[in-house]
Amino acid sequence: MAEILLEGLSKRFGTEEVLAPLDLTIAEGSFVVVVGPSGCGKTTLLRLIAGLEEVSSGRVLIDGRDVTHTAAAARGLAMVFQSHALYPHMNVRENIGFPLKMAGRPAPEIAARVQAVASQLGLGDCLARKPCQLSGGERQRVAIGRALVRAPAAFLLDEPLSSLDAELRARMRLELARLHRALRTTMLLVTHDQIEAMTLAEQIVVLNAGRVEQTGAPLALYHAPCNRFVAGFLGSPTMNFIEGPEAERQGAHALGIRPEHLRVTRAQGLWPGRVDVIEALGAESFLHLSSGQGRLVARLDGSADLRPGETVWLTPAPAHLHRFDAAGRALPQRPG
Amino acid sequence: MPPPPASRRTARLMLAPALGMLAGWMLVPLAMTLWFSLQRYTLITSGAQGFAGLENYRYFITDPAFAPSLGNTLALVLGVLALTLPGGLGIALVLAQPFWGRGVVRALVLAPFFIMPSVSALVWKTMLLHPMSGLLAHLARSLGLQPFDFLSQAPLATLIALLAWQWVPFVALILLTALQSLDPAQIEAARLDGAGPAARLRHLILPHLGRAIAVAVLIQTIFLLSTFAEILVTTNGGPGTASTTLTYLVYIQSLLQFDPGTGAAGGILAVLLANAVAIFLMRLIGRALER
Amino acid sequence: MSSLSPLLRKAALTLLGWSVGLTLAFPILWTALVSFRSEADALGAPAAVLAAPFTLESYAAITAGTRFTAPFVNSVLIAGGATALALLVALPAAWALALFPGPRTKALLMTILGTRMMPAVGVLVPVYLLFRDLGLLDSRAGLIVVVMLTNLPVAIWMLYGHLREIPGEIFEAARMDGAGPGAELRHVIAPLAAPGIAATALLCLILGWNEAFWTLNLSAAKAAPLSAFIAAQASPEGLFHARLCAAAMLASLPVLGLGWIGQRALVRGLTFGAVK
Ligand SMILES: Nc1ncnc2c1ncn2[C@@H]1O[C@H](COP(=O)(O)OP(=O)(O)OP(=O)(O)O)[C@@H](O)[C@H]1O
Ligand SMILES: [Mg+2]
Repeated sequence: MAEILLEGLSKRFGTEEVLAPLDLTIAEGSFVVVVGPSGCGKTTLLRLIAGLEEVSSGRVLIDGRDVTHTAAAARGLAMVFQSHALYPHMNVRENIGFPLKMAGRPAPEIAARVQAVASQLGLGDCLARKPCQLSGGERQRVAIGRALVRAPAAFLLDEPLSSLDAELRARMRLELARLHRALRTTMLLVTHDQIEAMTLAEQIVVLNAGRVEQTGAPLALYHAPCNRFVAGFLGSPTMNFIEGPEAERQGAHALGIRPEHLRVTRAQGLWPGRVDVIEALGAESFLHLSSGQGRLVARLDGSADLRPGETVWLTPAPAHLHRFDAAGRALPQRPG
Repeated sequence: MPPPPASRRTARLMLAPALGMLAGWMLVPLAMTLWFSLQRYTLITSGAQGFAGLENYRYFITDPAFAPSLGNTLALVLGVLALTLPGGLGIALVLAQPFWGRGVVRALVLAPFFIMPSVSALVWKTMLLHPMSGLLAHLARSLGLQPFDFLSQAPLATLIALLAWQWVPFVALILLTALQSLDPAQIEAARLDGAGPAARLRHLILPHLGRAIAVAVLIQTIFLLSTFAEILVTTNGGPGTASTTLTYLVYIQSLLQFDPGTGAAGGILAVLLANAVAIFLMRLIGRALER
Repeated sequence: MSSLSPLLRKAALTLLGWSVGLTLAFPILWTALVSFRSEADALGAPAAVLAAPFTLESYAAITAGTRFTAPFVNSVLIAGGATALALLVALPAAWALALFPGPRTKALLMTILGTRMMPAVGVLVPVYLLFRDLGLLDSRAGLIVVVMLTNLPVAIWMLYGHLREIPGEIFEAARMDGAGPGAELRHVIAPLAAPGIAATALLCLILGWNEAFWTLNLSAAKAAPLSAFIAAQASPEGLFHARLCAAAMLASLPVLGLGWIGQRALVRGLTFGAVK
């Protein structure tokens, strides 16, 4: 269990700045998720913390100890690599047991720990297999198992769930959350999947093009994004953005409204819109509409009694209307 | 990961011995060859006797053996390629299909490539082709024919046959390896699209093999240009100059006629010829490196 | 072909495959046969040779004195020594090229390859004179060095190809898992690099064993390996048929064995990774 502190940490490859100087505190025992689009520098950030990459500037502190120039092995962190990085010549049992073997643990203890971790991850049946004989999901779980098997100061997880199918991903997400609650070990997970971020994180860091856009609790970010990027990145389907006279009328360059905050009625409303497509998922439905404000998406509970081509009225909930200036920054909520 | 300066220095240190040796092995002697080729020099008096200009080159090129050796070199390379490419492709296509005893057949097919050149040459010369005691002579006599003295009547053609025998397994092996990387689903899709065996060969298999064929051609050419032991053992370049290649002529001039100056001039010409081929090969390999 | 039943098709392929294989291997098979005949029987007509009794006398004769065994030992020492040396020099170089690539890596690799494309005859004169002046003519040490140098580019390329296929993150994972440099070498690097090193060694052994330009030009009696010894039998004073065949078999068998094991390595190595 450890607190990780980043002070002015930055990374350049040649002349290209991949990470702008950033400050971040990862509290002891917390679960922090760094989320951002592909190529924004998430893996680089983890590698800097792990000690696999030289920093260009700034410091990394673990529990107050400056480890900026400490070797990776001596930082006491466990990492799950995006590419898994399993040892191809070792079977699953040896892969998971390797960190313990390196720590010089006695064989019976290693066997017991490996067994426990493997059954926890549903890998009990493939302990004797080599990585090349595993499915993508199994490989990923072995990579997680290799990190879990020891008690590190913190876990660094690089898109640990990305190659799992939807069902398994949901299960492993719960498993990770449960695990964190049980271990209370600091976890830093990076992902480009905002659902993962929303469901797992106690604290989300939104990264974009090497810059931190916003940091905060998931719902705080969801309800009060500080700019258009954060607003659009969190939430699915994504927030509706409206530009033009309607936005100007409200003193903004753009308006943002989430699909669930657009009320849909047959009569009486603010904007008329024509239904293009209805995605009915059973518990909820998404209406894709064309309106004077552009294309919009609205969410309805249950199934909608509507047909494509029909015209409906849309009304945004004023309390949830976001306003952005020309630079994309969020403007303060208008009173009333 | 761009390495930190310290490990870059280590890397340079690790590379140094190999690079130093290769430079010492090729560049220095090559420069010396160039120098010798411009000197009046004999092995017997042992020592340079002054600048000769391009005299050695003139001497080498006007040697009555030079024109035939160039022709022989060309005929040798083209002849062997003409035999090994179709032969190797045919063998690869057969070996790519399952049949009984395929593993053993593969071993049999590959065997000629692994036999050392002097053994192959000697076995052919004494066991198969010898006009008195060779197997083919026995065969001819039993058919009531006059035995044919292959190595004196048709030295170049015989040499081509011998080299083709040595190299056809190599081509087959390369093409087989390339064939095995062809996605079987592609063949099945083509079959469903109604492509017969000939159409599949022409439109699917040959295009897929294109690179491998090019590599096989170039590598064989490079090695064939340096053919030495086979000629030394079978024909010694003769009769006359009938089977003297450029490489062999350089050897004759340098070590048999004790004329390093002319030999060196010939060596430089051989290098130029080989480089003309090597450029294409290096380009192909360089492209493979990028993937 | 598609009109044939699968079984018939397989039978036809079997017939075709075996006839091609036997035809190509015939000179070798015939050599093997004659090597097991007495010298007198070996000179007969083919049918008589076939029917003659089996004997190991030519093998016994060949291996009795030092006439054959000395070049055999030379071959073992030259091929083995050259391979060991080539690996020793090539491994760090390939390691540096594969794991610490820089802007010049590709140019370096192509230069290394270029030295292998250079025809040996282009440097025959200076190398011969250098050997003469250094007293290295007809010495095993000199041949070991030359054979090692001709194999060095192949060895570097092959090791490079193998090492490059190991994803670097594996080593990083080992470091994260607490492996120090020693443990990393023992548990991760060595087992992962071993197959590539073995394949490279195999190819170098084959090429070194069969090398027949420098061995023929730089050796006489003392250091002559098998390739030079066998070539010398082409003269009228050479060995008789049965003994010649026995010598040919003994000279070929080691490489036939190695070659069979290392076919894939051979394709990769000789095509410099352009065909895998
Ligand atoms: N060794 C390197 N040399 C040069 N540029 C690099 C290097 N490693 C990463 N980059 C660049 O840095 C940027 C960030 O890379 P990084 O791998 O951190 O992205 P990421 O957020 O993890 O993306 P993904 O979600 O696709 O994994 C990318 O533009 C990448 O091209
Ligand atoms: Mg990444």
